[in-house]
Amino acid sequence: MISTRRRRTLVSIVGWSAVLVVIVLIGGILPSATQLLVTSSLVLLSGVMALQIFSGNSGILSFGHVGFVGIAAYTTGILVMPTAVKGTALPELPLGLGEMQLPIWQGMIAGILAATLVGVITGLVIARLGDAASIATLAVLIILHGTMVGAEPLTRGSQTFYGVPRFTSITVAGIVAILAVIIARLFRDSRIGMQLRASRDDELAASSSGVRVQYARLAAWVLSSAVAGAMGAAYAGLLGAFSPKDFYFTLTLTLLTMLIVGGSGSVAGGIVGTIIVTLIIEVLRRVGDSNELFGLTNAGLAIIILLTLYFRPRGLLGFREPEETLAYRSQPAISTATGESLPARNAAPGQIVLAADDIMKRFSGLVALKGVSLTVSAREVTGLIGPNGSGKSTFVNCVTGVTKPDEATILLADQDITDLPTWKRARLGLGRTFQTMRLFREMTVTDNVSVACICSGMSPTHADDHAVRLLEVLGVAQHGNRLPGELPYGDQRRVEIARALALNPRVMLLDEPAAGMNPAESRELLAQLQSVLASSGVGILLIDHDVALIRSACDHLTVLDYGAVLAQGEPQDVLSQPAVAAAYLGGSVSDASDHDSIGATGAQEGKIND
Amino acid sequence: MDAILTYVVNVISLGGTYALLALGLAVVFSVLRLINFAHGELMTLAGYTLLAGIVLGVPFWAAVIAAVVVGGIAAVIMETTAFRPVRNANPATLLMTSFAVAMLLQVIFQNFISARGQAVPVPSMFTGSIPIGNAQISIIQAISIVASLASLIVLKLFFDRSRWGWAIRAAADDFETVRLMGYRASRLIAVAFLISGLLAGIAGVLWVMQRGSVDPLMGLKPVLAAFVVVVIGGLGSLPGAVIGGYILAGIEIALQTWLPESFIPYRDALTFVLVVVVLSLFPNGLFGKRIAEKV
Repeated sequence: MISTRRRRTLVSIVGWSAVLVVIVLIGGILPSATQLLVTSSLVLLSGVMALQIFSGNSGILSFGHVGFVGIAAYTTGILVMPTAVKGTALPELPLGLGEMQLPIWQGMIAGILAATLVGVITGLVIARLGDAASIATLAVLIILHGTMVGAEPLTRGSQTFYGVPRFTSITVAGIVAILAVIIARLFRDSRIGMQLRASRDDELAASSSGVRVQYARLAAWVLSSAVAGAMGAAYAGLLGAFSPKDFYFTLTLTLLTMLIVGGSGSVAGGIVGTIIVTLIIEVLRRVGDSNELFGLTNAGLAIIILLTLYFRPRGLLGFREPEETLAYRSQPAISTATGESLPARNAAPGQIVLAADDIMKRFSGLVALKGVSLTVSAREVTGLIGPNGSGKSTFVNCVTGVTKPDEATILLADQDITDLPTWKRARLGLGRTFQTMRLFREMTVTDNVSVACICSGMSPTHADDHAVRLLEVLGVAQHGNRLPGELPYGDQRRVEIARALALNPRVMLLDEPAAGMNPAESRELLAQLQSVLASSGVGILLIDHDVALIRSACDHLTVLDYGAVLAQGEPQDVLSQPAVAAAYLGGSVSDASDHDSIGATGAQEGKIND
Repeated sequence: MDAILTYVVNVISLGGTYALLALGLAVVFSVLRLINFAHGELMTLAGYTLLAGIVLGVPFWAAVIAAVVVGGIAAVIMETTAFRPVRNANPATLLMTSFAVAMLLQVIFQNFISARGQAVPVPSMFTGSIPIGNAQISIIQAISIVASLASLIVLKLFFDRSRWGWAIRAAADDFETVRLMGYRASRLIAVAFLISGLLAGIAGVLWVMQRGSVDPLMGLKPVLAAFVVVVIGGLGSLPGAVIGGYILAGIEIALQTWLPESFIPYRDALTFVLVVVVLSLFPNGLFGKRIAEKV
């Protein structure tokens, strides 16, 4: 039995390969000028796929890939150039390269390897950068361009490099393009591809779901540098003669336009964009030639990009593959198995699963947490409340690894997680939801949960099954193929909880899970949480303003005020302490609970009911 | 000793220009999260305005003022026409938009002015050099140092003393809060672009005076340098942009002066490699701070 995800991928690969084979066959009988156009657009398509793999899935625009194309083109060119030509074209070749002539396919592979090597080196830096990553890719382009211009014995500097056999027939171009498309499509639904797409939609939510963002970016960058290298190897055999300026801004603009017009978020978008932009460029070129206009092609590309970004910023096809859109219209298969219990980490009731000890955090002068300690036990709910600014968010950030505390010891089960990154804490069993919802908005509901399943170690196929089961437990499996934004608010909350559960967590931090829900929904959610608690053995840290919810749900309660623990113990006892009432509630408990349901959740309720 | 003096003068002169450009980029980034690729084309436009002024026989000082003003106005027009439709888009879309705008402007310059560089006849009083010790400093370089430092001081006063300056500095930390304080987003963005354009105008004039010519692709190299500067300084950090400008100039001129001749062709590549090394040590730039997300 083949899984739905695999079937979709297979349909896509077979379908697009067939389309490209047909294009090659038709192209093969066309007159040579037109055939050349088809060949060159197939070569460009492989470059677009390289960009799709990195930029499309990570959301980080890359200007650097054309540099990889250039590195591969020169490497392949030098290695396959006939030795007789080398004597005149490249008399100063070092390392005995002058006497060397490799078969075409070996030269192409060497080109790909060279590009990949540069990809590894540059990727180690790029993957670590945040906002600046795009600019750093630009630096990569300039470095590689500068190297091509500088390495005169190898490249003839800024002069034309010539004498490369024109080996890139339409068939060669077709094979390279088909391989590039297959790699891009396989990557999209791979473990790393899924993680990368999650990080594109929301980096914080991704790492809190166990995604190794930097690792995923590095892997995609390296893979895409290899694919860009394949384009470069084929491009060398297409052009025969070229110079460093052929691998600079004009080619970058061309590839980016192709990617953006079709939609960077999907492989199909890249293919469609390449076809459309190729046709537009050809028309512009003819018009430009007959009117002696300078740079009309570049101007045309720039205008196409602007129009696309203004009127259809996700491109013609958006973030979904066509086969995914078809699935979107159908109902997901809901498994018939019921009453299955969730896999449980072996934790006896009452065993401490999270122990945060003496967390201290200062923000330049302001002490946000003054040594806060609390514990969460398996199968129990610990509540955390406190007025705005009391340090709840900072506490959650310190426990999840988003903020580094100045002092603390944090144990998850018996493991010290104090110095671990967020994603590792998540994989060790620390699940969480967010106060303002953070779902992966361009991924289906099932994929939102599947990503976390993958991070907890499941194969993508297995992950899908498990994701559907979790969605069933939360009662939202019927939405599996939709995007989270299309769901009612309460159901989005449930998807987020399902995603946290997908980590098979020891502890779940729920940050105002009932915000925006009416009392009936909130009670239903509570019942669901209690059944989860009973079946999975997770311990819950519940942060909420809803005193009624806290009172009925929690086994223990901690109250924070001004970054310190004000009270800790049984909810009834804690809530009846005058100090708590004064600090947090500003009056009697019953008054405040009414006030809260208006103040804290009213705004969001208004949004939903509209 | 003279070599060091010459080096310092070169760094202050080039670094000042980079600082002006980078500051312009940083101001816009603060309010819009846009890294404006077309910033270099504002320089080019200022360069052409200067040329037009000189050709038309306008006094030189008037041509300079016109060039700077045109830079400022063009930036505001660019914002209202090109960037407003994507104002709320993600940074990748904004960057791509500005990349397309830059490409478009280059083609327009090539077709409507000239694809080739045009000589800009700088008045003879600006040619020649001043001896300092045994070293020679060209007058244009001296002007460049004075002008960039003066601009930075004026800007510093603007940021410290004026309401709008405060607002922009605050916007660098948290634009949303600044809006809640009663500043209209459109007005604040327009002011940011105006400042950025004026700075690009000044930098453009200095650049053209040093090189003596203006061409359609002129803005590319300095704007790429300025990109790197804002990244080294920390995206969104205004002091970082200024200090980064001098750091980059320091690296670039050191390589130019002391690099063995066989490595000279790799100069730009090496400069950027050093930058990447800095970034790998400080992923958020030297003065950047990771803005903690509210959960």
